[in-house]
Amino acid sequence: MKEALKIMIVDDSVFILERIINFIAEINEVKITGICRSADEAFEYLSGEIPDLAIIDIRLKDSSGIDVLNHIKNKQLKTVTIMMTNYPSEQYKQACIDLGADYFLEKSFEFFKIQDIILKMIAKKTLR
Amino acid sequence: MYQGRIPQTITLTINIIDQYPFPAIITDLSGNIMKSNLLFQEMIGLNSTANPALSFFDLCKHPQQSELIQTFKNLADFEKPFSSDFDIQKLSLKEIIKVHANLSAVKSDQDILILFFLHKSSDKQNKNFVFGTPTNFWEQLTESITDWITVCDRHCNIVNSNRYSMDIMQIPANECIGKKIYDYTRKLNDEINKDFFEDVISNQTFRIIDIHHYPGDKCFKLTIYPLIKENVLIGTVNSVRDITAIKKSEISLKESDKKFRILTENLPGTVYLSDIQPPWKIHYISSSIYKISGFRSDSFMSGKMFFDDITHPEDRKQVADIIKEKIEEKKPYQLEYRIIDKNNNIHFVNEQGCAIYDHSEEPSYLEGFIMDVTEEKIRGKVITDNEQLFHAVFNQQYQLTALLKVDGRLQDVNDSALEMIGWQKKDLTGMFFWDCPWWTKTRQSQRKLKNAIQQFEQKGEVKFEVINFDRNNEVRIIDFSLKAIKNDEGKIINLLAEGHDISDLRKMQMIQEKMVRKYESILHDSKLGIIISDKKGVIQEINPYLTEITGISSEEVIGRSAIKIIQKIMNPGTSRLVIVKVRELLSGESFSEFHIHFNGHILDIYSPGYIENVGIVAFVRDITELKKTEEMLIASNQKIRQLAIRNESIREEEKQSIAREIHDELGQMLTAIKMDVSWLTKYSDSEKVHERLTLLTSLTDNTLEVVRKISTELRPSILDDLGLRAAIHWYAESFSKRYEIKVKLKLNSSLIIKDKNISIALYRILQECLTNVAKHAYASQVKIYLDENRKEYIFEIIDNGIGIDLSKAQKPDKYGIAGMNERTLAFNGIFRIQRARKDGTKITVKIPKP
Repeated sequence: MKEALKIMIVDDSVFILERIINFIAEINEVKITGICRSADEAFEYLSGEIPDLAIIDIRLKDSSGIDVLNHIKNKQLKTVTIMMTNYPSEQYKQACIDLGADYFLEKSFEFFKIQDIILKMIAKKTLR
Repeated sequence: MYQGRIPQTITLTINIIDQYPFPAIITDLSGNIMKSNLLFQEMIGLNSTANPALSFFDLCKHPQQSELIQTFKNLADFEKPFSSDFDIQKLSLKEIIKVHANLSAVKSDQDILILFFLHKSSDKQNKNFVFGTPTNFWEQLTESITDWITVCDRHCNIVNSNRYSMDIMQIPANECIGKKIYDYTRKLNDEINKDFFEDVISNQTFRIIDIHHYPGDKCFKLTIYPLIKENVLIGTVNSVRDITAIKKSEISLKESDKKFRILTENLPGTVYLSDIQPPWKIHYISSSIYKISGFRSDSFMSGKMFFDDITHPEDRKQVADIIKEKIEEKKPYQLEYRIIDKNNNIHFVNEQGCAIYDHSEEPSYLEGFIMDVTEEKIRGKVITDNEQLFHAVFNQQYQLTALLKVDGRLQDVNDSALEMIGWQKKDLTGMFFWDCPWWTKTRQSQRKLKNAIQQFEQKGEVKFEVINFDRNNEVRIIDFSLKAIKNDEGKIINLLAEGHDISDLRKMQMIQEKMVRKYESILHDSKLGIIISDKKGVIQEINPYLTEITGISSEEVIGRSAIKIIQKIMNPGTSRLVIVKVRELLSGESFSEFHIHFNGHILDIYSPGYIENVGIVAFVRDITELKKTEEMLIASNQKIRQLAIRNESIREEEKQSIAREIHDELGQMLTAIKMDVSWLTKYSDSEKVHERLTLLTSLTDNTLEVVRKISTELRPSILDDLGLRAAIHWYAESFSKRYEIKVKLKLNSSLIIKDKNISIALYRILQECLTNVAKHAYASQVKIYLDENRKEYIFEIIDNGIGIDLSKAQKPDKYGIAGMNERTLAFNGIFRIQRARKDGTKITVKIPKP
């Protein structure tokens, strides 16, 4: 059996987490290995495991998803990053891209794209 | 009524002096009495009607004879009438009479005569009487001559005659009885013959006729009264009056009047008689007013125009004030003012005059003389200020060099000295020097000079100061010296008298002394410590207050080097600073101000550098108390600021937490709903459901937008997530979009502000500023700069709008400026608002780095 795609989700809202998890669960060959509700939890998780994909909400309680992105890039992890936000300003997008984020999605409109991104990643992995 | 009065006043002639009801004399310009009236002769005790050769100065020992002679000349030059008190000695020498005299000049073809009208000073009632003419004058004159009265029957036979037939016809009264009246009158004039009388009798008319008796050059007035009884003429009453004296007076009066007019018309000015107050109704004005004003004298005399009509409006009040004052003081006035002529040209005029007083001493008219001095003025104006100053000084610098005989008589004198008094050399030569007009105004000077000259042989050369009066009666101080001129044998042959006018020098000296006194009083009474040193830094002077605040006494420091003293009395740290400053001043620095701590005091030292003629000056102020208060104030301000910062940060925290709450709770839930709706849309095949879901999506989107907005207003998450630069970018973009105002950003990309409080303060200032720009500036562009230097963050917002009204901006809370200022001060920063270089407003915020 092929090794499943390891995914971590960083979001502080239970409602959102619930929906993203349900949404991803529809796809085979993925495994949600980490659910973090703050940047600190994410750092802790990342110290033990390196996911293939990190879905990160920018706005977190008392912290910022950008810090998590920064952490991943600073540690030069191979994790693909999807940054999500409810405040899709150019500044955020630019900041995320500058820091090396792979995707920048507006949460309420574009969360469907998560599925596409995952499917693409699986296809790529299989090809390899 | 008044028309005739002026000529009468000024031109009382020799002929009528006899009729004058008070003592009067006529003299020539040297005071020799040419004629006097009986009243005068009685007054001085002269019995004979003959006029002995007397000089006015024989009778009156006037102390300033030469001055009086000058006054005569001035009178003759048609200057103002002059009046003065004199002591007149009776010829018996026993009694002195105090008289008041009014003097005026009369010009005949060859001579100029001076008229004196005198009255005893005790006779107050008549003090100013002279300017008017006695009202009963002519009556007195006519009463003094008695008529020849005759009564005739209707055939012209004389039936009665009074005794004055003798006076008129040189026949006794009884001799003419029974004779025909026309036989006598015919002798007076051919035309008053038989026919004339018969005509009178047949017409029964009352007749008055003037008869000129040519051979005798006499005039008579014949009056014929018809005597009528029961409508029948029974005879006549005839009166013959000798009116020669009256006629002659009238003729001479007419001639004098003519002369006066010729005189006034030819004078370089205008004579007038007017009311005593504005608008100056004119009773008489000579025709030369036309030359000055362009208006004919008739226009004024007819009452159509007043003198104020041609007086320059700016000068009217001054003219009225001066004249009023002088009338009250009973003094002549002299004025200079402007007249506007018919063509609106301005003339400068000089006016002299005096009031004429009536019997009760009330001023009733003004009499005076106006001269056009425009040309002099214009000529004067051409000379520059400096030249004027030079001339003024030069002209006053009167110098006298006189060569005297050993006994003190004047032998020669220089021209400028003569000019000073207006005398000719020949008139002074041979006069005792001390009696010359230079000195006659002060007896003290005369005595001093006389003593110096007479005692020259014993005492030798002298040098002293004498007081003198110049032509304008101003005191002049003359530095006088007397030297000997000796012949080969050493004998004194002449004395050389030299006088220099040193009044201006004295004036300068006085001013200088005053300044020195002022300087000293500043030095001694000042509540500022003062130190003065020379250019080399040697202390010249310190004032008592400096001693009071520093404890340094003047004995310790005067004459010693400032630097050495500083090294001695100050601690090394302070002295180093002070010495640097002193050295700067010694090398020519023109300004210095600094504070030092000395003996428990804080001293503010200020120096304007080197001051000419004084030295290097430093002012020392004890600001210990001031500093304490200031520190307390700063401390309390600091406390208030700290409080403000805390308040502000609490508010910001609250806002942030509310913003998060809204975002996290509401925002996330809405996002979740949105996700569900999206899911449903994806998996539902029903078109109806799709329709409803589209509506729901749109509703959710709108709600999300509102939540986002509220949350961002409260606290832009971008500031926390991405920092100030990104927040400025974001805010500027949304501002630009919303108001269509271009925003140019120049933000230092390497700048990171770690202190979130500073970031939020700058962000809030930006928000406030851009709100102002949108509301008030009418700008099309805003430039925002964010930069840093080693010490501080620099933030500038410049718009190109109409510019702020800085006076309004100073008002508390106008445009939220107080708030912006407070936010800046909270970080010890500087907030500045000013007009931008071209247009618009520039806001600068500098905050020191933590």
